Amino acid sequence: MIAAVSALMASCSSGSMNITGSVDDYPKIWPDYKDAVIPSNIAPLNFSYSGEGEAVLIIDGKYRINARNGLFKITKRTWKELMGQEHIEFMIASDESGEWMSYKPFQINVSKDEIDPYISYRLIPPGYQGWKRMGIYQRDLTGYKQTPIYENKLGNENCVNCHTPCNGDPEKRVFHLRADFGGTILANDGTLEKLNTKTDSTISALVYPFWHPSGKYIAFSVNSTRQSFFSHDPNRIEVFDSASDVVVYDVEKKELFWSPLTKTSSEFETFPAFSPDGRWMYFCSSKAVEKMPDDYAKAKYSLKRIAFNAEDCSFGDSLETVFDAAAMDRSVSFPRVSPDGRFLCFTCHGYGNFSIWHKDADLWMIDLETGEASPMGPANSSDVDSYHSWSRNGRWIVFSSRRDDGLYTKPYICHVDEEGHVSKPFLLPQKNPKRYYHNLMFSYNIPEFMVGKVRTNQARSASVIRTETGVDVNVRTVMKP
Amino acid sequence: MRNRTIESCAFLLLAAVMIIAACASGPNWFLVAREQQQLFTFDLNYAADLMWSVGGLTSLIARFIVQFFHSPTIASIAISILAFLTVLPAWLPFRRQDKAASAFPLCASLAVSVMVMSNLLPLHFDAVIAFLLSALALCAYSGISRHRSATGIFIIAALYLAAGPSAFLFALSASAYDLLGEGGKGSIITAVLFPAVALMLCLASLFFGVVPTAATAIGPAFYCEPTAKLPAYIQAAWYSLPLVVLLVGAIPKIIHSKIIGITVATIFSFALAIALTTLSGYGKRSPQANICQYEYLCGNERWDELEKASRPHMYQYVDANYHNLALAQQGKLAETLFKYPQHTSQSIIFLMKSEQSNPVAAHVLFAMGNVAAAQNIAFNSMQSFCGYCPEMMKIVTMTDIMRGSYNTAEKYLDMLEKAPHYRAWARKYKTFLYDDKAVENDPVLGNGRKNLQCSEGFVIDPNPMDDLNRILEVNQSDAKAMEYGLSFLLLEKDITNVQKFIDRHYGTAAMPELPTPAQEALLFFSDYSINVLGDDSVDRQYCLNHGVTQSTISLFERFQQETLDNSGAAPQSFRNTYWYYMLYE
Repeated sequence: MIAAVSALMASCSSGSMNITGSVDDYPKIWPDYKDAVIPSNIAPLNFSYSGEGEAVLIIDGKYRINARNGLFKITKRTWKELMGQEHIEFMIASDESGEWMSYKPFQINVSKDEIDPYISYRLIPPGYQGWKRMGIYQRDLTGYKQTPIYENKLGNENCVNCHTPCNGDPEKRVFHLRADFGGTILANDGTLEKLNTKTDSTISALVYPFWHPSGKYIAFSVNSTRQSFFSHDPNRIEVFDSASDVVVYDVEKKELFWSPLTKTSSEFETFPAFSPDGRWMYFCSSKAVEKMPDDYAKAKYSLKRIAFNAEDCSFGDSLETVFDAAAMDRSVSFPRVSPDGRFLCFTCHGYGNFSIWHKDADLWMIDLETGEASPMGPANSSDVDSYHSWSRNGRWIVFSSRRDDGLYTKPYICHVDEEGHVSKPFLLPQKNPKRYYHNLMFSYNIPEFMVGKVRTNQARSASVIRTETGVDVNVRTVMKP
Repeated sequence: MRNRTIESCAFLLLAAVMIIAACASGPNWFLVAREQQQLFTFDLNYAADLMWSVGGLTSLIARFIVQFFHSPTIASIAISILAFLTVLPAWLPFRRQDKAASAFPLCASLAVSVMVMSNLLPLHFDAVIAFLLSALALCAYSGISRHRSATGIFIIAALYLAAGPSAFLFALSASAYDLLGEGGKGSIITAVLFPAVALMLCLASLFFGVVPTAATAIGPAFYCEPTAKLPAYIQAAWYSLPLVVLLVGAIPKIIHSKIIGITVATIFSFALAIALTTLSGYGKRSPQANICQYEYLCGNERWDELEKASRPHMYQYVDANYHNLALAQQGKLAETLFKYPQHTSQSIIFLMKSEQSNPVAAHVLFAMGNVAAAQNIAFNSMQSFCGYCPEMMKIVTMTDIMRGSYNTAEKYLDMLEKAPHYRAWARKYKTFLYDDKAVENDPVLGNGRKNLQCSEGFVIDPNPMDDLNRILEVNQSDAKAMEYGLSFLLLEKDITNVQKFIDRHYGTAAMPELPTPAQEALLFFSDYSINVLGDDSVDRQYCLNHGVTQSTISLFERFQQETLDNSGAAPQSFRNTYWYYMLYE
């Protein structure tokens, strides 16, 4: 092995360089892409060697890349050639006090399952109450380009949140604005509409959205939310609801309706999500906790579902508990069913619903055919692993993780095969990931896959946001149970 | 030759007057505060990120200059030089047209525009640089004799990219210059063409979502905080450049006598300068300037000066917070509390409903040893106009080190290390990273880490006293927390808890002696509980055992006597006592 690499070194090197020894360990690299499964249409996974001294990277014994300030930058051409293989072998050699030593080689596995070409997300300071600049952005996963969908500099630095596309469709989206020019923006096949969603019958304006697959309805939670800062808990913050319900918005009729079973005072219902066939609405539900914030840890959300008939907007007459987290003294959030309807991914944590501030938050998956639930082992870390979204082919999940520094959330992507086996995730690639993420003063929030690029000019969005007073959303007078 | 000497003398005089005036008028606290609105880092990526945006070069220059404003003297001299550098290139084009004399007073008035713009905090310093670049562009343009239209358009495009709406300002100025100069027919074309091109470019930025409104695309609002309303005098200051060009060109056409022309120009320039300074209140001391000064003194730990500066304004909660912080940092808060006018516990800490930005609360909470609450508020306050407020970032960094969140602290320290003024500080604190022992042995960091061992609870819920009690349960050696706790209770007039506090903490390392106001409160409580509640558990002997001195007892007896003698009226000679505050404030 050493001889082969030495030969390559000699053939490629501009200077003399011979590997004379080896280290029986993997090299320290960041991001840690070792053994990750990646899609063949992802941008080159550049990474940095964290050790001292000069270093070279040998890929598959064919390509040699010299580190520049520790960074191995892989050209698009080389990457394209490598993406035709199932496994790629990376070997790093470094100059250890004048002697070139090779580290144990590692692999990156290439899946034939392509990934959706775009993700959208919000970039926000991981702050507690304050912010200044924030925005919703989209990122081309086949390259490194990030473009703004809407930046709050265009709206008096208002809060912009919960950007959610329908089935990954970039032209069918919804997002909210708080503070100045408040409202909900609904982008629907080329039209942009501003909605005023607070009604006398609901406890708040609409909050966490999820589109019905038909695109005709959007399920939302309405929440009375507050947050408090812990005196020393590593979680730092607790965000809690003192009331919440789940309602559905009829996009065409601009009306809200709900089931009496999803809007109760005895339960906190939140985080709705439809099944891909549109016949079920999943949501998280906890017994109402009276003394908030004192009893914040008593809120234990379980996963429930109710039948939904999109034809006549009726609901089933009973709730089904899909995952009784409360019985396990746990709590769940963000249910998301895979596009093939087989798996349901959710976040599981000790209590409450705002998992991004819970270091024990992990991703779990239920096989809806068998009802078996288990943690998504390789995807999880010792820190927060939370908000997730499925790619349209159901083979990739993008999620938010605080595994790197405990505060700044970054998007990780993992592969899930047909049987629900999860692979080690990889960090969203960047040209120079170490420098980029270290200097970044924002968290990635609510990453969502999209099948294409949002074409709506953000100036147009800003014009609607700033100039339109908004359409008042009504409550349906006759609701079917 | 003679003219040149006069001109040189005039400009030297102007420069000297401006610099002397800047130095003599004392620190300009608004300028100094700008240094805390940004964190300029010597980093190619930082520069590249800025340069990629419209107006990026201006931002880069502005931020580079502003980083030196941590020194009030440098700030004052720098703004004088920038003002002078604006006047000179604005005047030079008229020298070429033989209008030097009448142009001088009018161009000199542009210095006032620069001063006024630099004095409004929500207006980024970029506006000053953009204004200067417009004047420089005009100077460059006026010196070109061939292909003037093409060159002008090139300058507009370049200026637009480098400085944003400054391009429109230049276009207006160049049009006025050409139109009222000796440009002939061509000048009429450029007079229309230049503003049209500039307007087109500026409006393109609106179309592409660079700016939110047409006003922002074209005018000085581009450089202003989006949430701030731009005052009319800033618009006047901004457009003073084309106005001056217009006046210099128009006056000789209307008034043929050179002397009268110069007189009229001088009158105009004085009128402009007076209007701008009056409308902006330039040079007047304002509450906002006070806060800027306090922040500077606080950041430099000049507690004695902070105490003196904030003393006259203690009727305002925020000013009182700074004053009491200065006292606490000098270890004399509880002892001297009632020597100064205090108005409820909000004089200790004034928490606003929205904690978007409240630097003083972050400083106070940090001094209190309330690590989590300080971090929360400092983090919110860290998000400043043009980047990150360095002083707040320092608090966030220290609290992260206390927490053991070394990865996050390292992120901030790396950033601070790239800023020359904060490099030494960052390097010092980097030595604590991943070294728990060093953290525990450091007086400040170690104290904070000890405080973090308090029992869990939500901070500032409902007020900081609960947090202080929890902190003092685990760290009785935190003298500042002790002073703040006692002072808070005294100002709350919560004598029952003052007694309990003394009972719990008197004689500990942080309270070896009982501060006079606390002695007064304890005597008051003793008197009240014996005579009103019939409870003699806190009697004179108890008071003596808990640090009350004989002289305070004698004083209390005198106070009681005088109050009786005055039939309950406030005895003015006791104004500085707890008793007076308790009964009459």
